[in-house]
Amino acid sequence: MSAMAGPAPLASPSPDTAARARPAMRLLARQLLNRVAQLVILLFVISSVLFVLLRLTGDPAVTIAGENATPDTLAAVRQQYGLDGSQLHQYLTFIGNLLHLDFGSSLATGQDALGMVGAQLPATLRLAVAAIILNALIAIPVGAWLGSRRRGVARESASFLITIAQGIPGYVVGLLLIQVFAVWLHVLPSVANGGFTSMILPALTLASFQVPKMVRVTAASVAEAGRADYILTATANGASPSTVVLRHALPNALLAVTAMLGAQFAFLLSGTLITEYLFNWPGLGLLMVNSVQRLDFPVVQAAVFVTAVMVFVVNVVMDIVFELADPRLRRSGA
Amino acid sequence: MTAPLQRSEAPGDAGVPLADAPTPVGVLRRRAGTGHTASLYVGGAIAAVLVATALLSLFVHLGDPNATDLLGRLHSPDGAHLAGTDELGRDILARLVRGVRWSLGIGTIATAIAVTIGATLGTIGAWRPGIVRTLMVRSTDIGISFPFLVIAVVIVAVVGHGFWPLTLTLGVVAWPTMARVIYAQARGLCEREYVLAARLAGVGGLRSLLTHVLPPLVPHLQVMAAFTFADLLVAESGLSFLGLGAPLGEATWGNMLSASRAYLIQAPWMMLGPATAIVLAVLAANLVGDGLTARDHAKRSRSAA
Amino acid sequence: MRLRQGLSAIALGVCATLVVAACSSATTPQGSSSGGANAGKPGGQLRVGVSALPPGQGNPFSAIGSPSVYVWASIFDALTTVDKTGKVQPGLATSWKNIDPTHWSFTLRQGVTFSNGEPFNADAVVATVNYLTSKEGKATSVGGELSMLASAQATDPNTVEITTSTPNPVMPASLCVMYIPAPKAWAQLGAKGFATQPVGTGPFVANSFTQNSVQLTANTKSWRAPKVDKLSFTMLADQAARTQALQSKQIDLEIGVSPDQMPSLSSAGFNVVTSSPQQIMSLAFRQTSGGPIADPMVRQALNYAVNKDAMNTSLLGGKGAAPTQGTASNTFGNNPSVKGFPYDPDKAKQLLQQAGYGSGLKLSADVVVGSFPADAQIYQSAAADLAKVGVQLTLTQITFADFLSKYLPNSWDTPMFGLSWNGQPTLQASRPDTIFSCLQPKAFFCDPTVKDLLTKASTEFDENQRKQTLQDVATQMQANPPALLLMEQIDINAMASNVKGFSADNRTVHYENITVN
Repeated sequence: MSAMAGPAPLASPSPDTAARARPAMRLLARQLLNRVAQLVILLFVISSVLFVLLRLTGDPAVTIAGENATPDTLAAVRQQYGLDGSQLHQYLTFIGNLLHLDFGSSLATGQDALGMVGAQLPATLRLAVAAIILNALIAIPVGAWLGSRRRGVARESASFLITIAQGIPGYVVGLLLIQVFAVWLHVLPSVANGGFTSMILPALTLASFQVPKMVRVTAASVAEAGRADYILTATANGASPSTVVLRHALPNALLAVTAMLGAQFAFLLSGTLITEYLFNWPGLGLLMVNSVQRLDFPVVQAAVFVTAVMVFVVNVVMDIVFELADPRLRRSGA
Repeated sequence: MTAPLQRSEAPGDAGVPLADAPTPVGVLRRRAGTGHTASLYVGGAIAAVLVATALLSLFVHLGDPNATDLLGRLHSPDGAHLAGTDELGRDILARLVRGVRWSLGIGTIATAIAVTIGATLGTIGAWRPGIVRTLMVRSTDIGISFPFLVIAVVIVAVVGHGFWPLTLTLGVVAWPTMARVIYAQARGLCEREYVLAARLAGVGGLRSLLTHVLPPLVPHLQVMAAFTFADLLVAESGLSFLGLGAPLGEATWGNMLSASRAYLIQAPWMMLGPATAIVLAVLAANLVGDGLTARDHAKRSRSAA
Repeated sequence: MRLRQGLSAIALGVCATLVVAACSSATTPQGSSSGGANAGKPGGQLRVGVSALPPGQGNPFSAIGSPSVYVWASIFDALTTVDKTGKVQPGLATSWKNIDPTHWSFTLRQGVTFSNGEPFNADAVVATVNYLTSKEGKATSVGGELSMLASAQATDPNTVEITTSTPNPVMPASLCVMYIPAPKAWAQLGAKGFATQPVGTGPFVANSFTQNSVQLTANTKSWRAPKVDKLSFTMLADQAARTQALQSKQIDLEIGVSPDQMPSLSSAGFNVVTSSPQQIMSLAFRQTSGGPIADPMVRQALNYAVNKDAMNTSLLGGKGAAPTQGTASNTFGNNPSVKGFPYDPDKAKQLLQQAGYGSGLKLSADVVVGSFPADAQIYQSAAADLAKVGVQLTLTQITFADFLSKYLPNSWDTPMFGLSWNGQPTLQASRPDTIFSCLQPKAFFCDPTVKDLLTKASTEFDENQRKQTLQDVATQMQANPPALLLMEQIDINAMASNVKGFSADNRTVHYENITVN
């Protein structure tokens, strides 16, 4: 990729460069606005779809009222929670509240739905960040090693192992980790207890969802970069293989990996559903699973809303970063 | 959104998304020019065994997956039960075999749904700008950027458990990614000179699509299908694991894995059986996908040379 | 190149920002380090793992029974409690008498205070009854259960007179579900505020009520002061995770253990306690909706077809029992001379033949699993037994929320559904019998004979008469079974070896007696 850029452009800004920069900035600003508009539409659509879907699952009034409820109790509950009135009326009220981010109170606990989501969100973020870091710590060295190997037994067998690893579902890995480290060896806790040690197994499990793929991507991009002209030049000039990898191939690979991290954020959040369930980690995923089962509409809607916003923000940031980074794209204005 | 993920392979090529980047094995083969035989054939062989088992089980009695035996619970593998028995004394091997039908069935049909919808919408969207393209791009934006399991969890809670609800849910959740990739590929193809020439010459849109755009897309479709199948297989067992998948007592790998959690100490074979099965099936799909990718690259680099 | 590296760094910096965001507003779930803090002295901490926390948090009127009772028994008291033999015991009331069919007088325990200093007296009871008879209170679970309450009056600070709207002979027993909250705190905070800051007379005070855990400290001034300093409840919905937490010493007491785990827990040094009998598991018949199960012969046949003893031996380690009727021996109204349906598949086939289903029958049932030990396996085993007599039973697992939305309006798609006979906490047969009768709103089963008997028993103050009437109900239900009875269930709890003094009556755990060494 850098081979096509040629020698680095000079730093001194000419009127020419400045003139080119301004439209680029305007383009960026317009794109950003575009994306925000997209986000708003996205949230509106998702929330509406959820509203319909969740109403189809059943009557939340019965969940609140409990199994001993009489028809009078049910009617009283419906009135109390605004579940009487036509569906259209409920929908319009819902949209109205949505505009000032009011998702109502949880049907299970009576606490503010968005507040409950906000309270559990940091736990998920911590887990996600830990998983991303672990992912990078494991995948990048292994991938770099793999990508820089020549054809041979080591590479083929490692490659095969990675392929197998990719087929092992994350929750199987989680189960195995619990069995070995928590139950047999008693060295790590299998249930969240607020301490740092209880984050290790869940983070490893969550990372395992993506590590094999990351290894392959890193290996591929290191291998790709390794074939570029400037690498051959460096090697020809006597640079050692490790220097070549570390200083030339890896930085490019890092870019690809980071791009992938952003794109994988959504998958990461999927993985947190199962991981948090396995380890009773009190994050957004666990809240989501429990709330869906309890038909706790407001919390589900708030959780999905927050998830969508998070994923969108991460993707937009990644996209902007890479549009700035890749000179080919910037020049072609794609 | 696909722009940052594109990597140029050869001039004039629309590029291949990162997810399909050549693996070391594929890269190796391409260099040597000998092809992709290993991955494709090994994967294909495993897949063939699984499919054969599924078909065979329809006609030949390969053990009763639902026969309970309260006195023979939690027996480790032995002569009578090659993979042991589960918490109700049922033969695990028979259940694994029955599970092949379920998993392969859901995986195949859901993938087919995803491919059909995705390819259709992606191609149409690429063909000409307009309302279809805008709608498709926006809706796939929603689809891709959203954690799929979250959507699946909500949908399954609504429509209930079972083969068809699960299949439809997974198909619906998977088509956006497919559509986007196909869209990116098809865009590149649609801008090629011969297609433009055909349009100018007045060749009908549909005919042009079918003869010029669709055929080069097929290899990409095959690759995406293989990887999507693998992902959906894992997703299905994940949903079962969360208790949102198959009905009670149904012999599916996800169900079996979920039930095995409580018996990790006394009966580890309950976990090993379905775990191995899932890994094998996913491995087969990934190998096939890898092999197809490599073959596709080999063909293209040969033609570009 | 440098630009590229720089921007890579920026992207990773985005991740770092997420770290900062995550850590800055972290609300870490409060837990404990492993190992007791005050080893050797009275004190220490008891960490309990439960499958669910009270959905209504600290609002004692929002639910009845488990899972809420596990937490509320540590915070609140009621006027009475019912022990495991069905006898009504004093709680916050030391004695009571029946003045006339609709008037009761309760003498209250003296010297009891709420944890916030408010005195417990007749006014507190009156305030509670006033709430439960108010519009808002009537809509609560406890209000619905105690719908017979009309009013209460404080005749002196330690005596309260309660009036019922209709004569109700089992009122003292029923009052065991009426936990008494501190009246001023309740009035000040309202239902919603009180839920996160509950105040009661029990051995512990709740410091924090989050979605996943409850943290409590000892209320040393309580009339039943505890022996440990701290108590915590952690929600571990998944049974396997809960047992793992016990095995890895993250909790000291596990509520709800699977029978298959009993041997390995015992051999690892944990104390496994079973208490039985508990509720009767069954598949209810929706006879009012017609179909094959409207025929009593079919329903009897299904009961004969299932081998309940084998299920008990293999799945519950023999600790449960094959049910003879909808109640167990500890329930008032249980009829010892009703022997139930022994395992007889030939008789089942014969009955099915007579009823016209000799060539087979297709049925389906929606069930909730996870409520009882081995319940998923019991349902599946029963289905396998039914298959042997030609009945194809398709089981569908539904969530509890789904169950409620079908149960209350009786709007099922299936002719059968899983429902337990729950005599708790009053251990009176009338309660579950009523559910399986025409007297249930939106009745799914109706037998006019049973209806008349139950109506008679509901106002019968003579204990012996009432018992006889309820036993007649059991006899009638043998001839016309409203359910496929499956199992007399058990409660299995496990605790670390250093936890002593555990006891529970009808799932009301006596936390004040527990010590952790």
